[in-house]
Amino acid sequence: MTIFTCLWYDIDRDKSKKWQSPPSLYRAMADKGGLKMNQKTKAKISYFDKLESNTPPVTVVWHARGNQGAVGASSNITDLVALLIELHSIYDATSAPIFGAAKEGEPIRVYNRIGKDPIEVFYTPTKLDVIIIVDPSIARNILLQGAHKDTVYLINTDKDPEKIARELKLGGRRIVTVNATKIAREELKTKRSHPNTTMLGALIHIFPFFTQELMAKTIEKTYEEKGHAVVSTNQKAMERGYAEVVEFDGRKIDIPWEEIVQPKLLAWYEILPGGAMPAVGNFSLNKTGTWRTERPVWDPEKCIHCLSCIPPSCPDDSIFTKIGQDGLKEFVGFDYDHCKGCGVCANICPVKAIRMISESEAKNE
Amino acid sequence: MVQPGDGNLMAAMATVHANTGVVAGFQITPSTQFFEHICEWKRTGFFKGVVRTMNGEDDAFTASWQASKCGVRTANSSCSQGLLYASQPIMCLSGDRCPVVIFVANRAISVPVNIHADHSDIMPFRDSGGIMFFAKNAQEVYDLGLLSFKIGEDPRVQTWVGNNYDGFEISHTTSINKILNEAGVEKIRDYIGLHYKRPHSMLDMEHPTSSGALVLPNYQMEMKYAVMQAMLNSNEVITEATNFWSENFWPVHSFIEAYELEDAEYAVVVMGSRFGTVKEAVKIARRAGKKVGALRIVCFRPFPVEKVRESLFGKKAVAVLDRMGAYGSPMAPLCESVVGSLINDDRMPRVRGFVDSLGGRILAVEQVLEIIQSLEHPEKWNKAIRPTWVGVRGGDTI
Repeated sequence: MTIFTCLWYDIDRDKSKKWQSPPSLYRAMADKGGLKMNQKTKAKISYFDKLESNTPPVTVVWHARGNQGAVGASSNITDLVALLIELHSIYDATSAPIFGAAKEGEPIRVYNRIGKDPIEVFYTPTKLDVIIIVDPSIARNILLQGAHKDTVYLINTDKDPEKIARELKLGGRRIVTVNATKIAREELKTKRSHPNTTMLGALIHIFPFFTQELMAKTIEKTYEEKGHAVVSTNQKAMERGYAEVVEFDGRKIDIPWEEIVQPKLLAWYEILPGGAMPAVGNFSLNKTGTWRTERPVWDPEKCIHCLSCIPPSCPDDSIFTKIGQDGLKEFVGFDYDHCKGCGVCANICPVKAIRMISESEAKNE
Repeated sequence: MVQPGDGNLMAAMATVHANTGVVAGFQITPSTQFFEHICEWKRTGFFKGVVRTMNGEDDAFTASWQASKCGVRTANSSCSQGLLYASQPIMCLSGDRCPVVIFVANRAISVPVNIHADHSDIMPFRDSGGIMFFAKNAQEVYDLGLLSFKIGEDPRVQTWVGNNYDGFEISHTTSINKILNEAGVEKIRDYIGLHYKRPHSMLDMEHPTSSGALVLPNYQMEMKYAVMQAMLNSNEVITEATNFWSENFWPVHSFIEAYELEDAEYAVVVMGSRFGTVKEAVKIARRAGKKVGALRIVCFRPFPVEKVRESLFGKKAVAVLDRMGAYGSPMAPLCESVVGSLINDDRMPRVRGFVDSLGGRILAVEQVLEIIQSLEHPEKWNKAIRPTWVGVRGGDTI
């Protein structure tokens, strides 16, 4: 049994076939008097025992924007495997974030490796078994880098899975979708949506051996310092993420797989000395509005035109003002071409005239 | 005890477990989390020492240097431009015999600005009289980090110890590590001593001493010879310390780590996190019937000359992978040290130097396989006047 066949498990498994018992892992747990697992969990975690040694580790990538919590969610996977290791030391997992220069709102990637043997390599995986897309607005050639024909996709979207499959041209692939942004907003009740724990819940659908129980335990360990309320809301979001998953078999649609074309990079002799950039003052051409997952909306009736929200509060100078009839500056609106949706204005507004809504909600309106 | 965490967390954990007295920090990516953890743990009471936020790396390392001179156990962390900014106090540490432990999440130096891993920031310090470890994973950052307090403070050594781990690749990669439990921490504190006992502490009120001597040519060479002698002695001290660790806790590599090297005809020498990549390539080459091995240098200073000789004499050819550019030099730093160890002996293998993975560029397993293959044809490269650069667009062919 290879890992790849397992990833199709939810579609192709033989329903009558039961997991073999007794799982040696559970026995080891019981011996050490460790975690108390229910029957379902102990059956599922026996998955790892069936893996042969020398199986290459499963590679997972998280595509998200800064501040969506992908780095935390990815290291939660490592924490979860550590939980298993405490009981039975045969697994290993790593989680490696890749940042660019900016942080919040910028597309980031986090890579997980999960395997039976000790993981000793640190290079970015070139072949990815699971691609988790927390923000599908990132360009396709970035999202699908390293995909192969058995790659499974977990996508955070409010769209129909077939529609998103057609948009990303994922013919013949297994796709799992969940509306994590909405669930997270409803459960966590934070100003900005943090879909990370919800995505972890949905991920159990792909890796059944993670189990809700283990995941709940991991979330508890991660957030226990922040108080009981944070733990329970995140656990609830995780449970809903698992329950509200939509499974889609990409073999049903007849869209051919489109090869990913990467932009050509310059050779060393084509770069100007010292990396000199021949253009100046063109940052307004860089439409950072695409980085946004949530946008601020303004309520003109509540606004008292105190201008608390203009720079330096707004880091991107994305608030339009004009001189009003009384000769004073007035708030007019947002520059959505450049606003990165950081939410500072919504936080600082003394009369709550600015609120954050998700981009898809904004499009529906 | 199982502890999931990244390199910076393990470095901070080692600092706390060693009962460090002073951490005077200034943050720089990718070392930032080291100081963040220390500050956070100071708040929660897990870290018992003194924390000072400083004005810059020059201040931070000067504070560490002076604290150490007053007989306080100190640790610090920096990288890249920050480390270079602190070069003045760091270069003084070995002469003043101050055992500051420095955690360096290696990062490229400007220009161009790059936050990812390579060894160019620490290499300018390689001959300044400090001990330098290069860890292969976060676990080793913890093990060797904790031991470096013992090694640096030993009366036979008394010099700074640098713990290098590749930025982001180790410093930010969360992996599953082991840390000592309470009994273990007590044991290691017994071994390295609860506090640093400096022979001539400036704060020893009963035996007041001055420091910062002006020395004219008649004493200069003698004082520097003492530093050289300290580095020689550290060989013995490192062996003792790592033996203690292996006997009491779990195995730790002290100077070198060899993989499939005994019957190998060709070898690849490397430092840091890329060892895993090289190992993977060696596994593939072995399956194809090639006799290849890999050697990792754990302790770069003092360079384990005899151990390298033992492991590489009699091989046909050796590739040395450096993570720092050599500009106008026949060899990059690691290659220089390897060749310097092997020279003047008939059993010396042919050596080919490579420069790779600068600024976080990925060294692919396929590239290592190409490197291994090229070793079989020395006639193609034995006249080279500089190292070969790996994976440059429009650049060298392997």
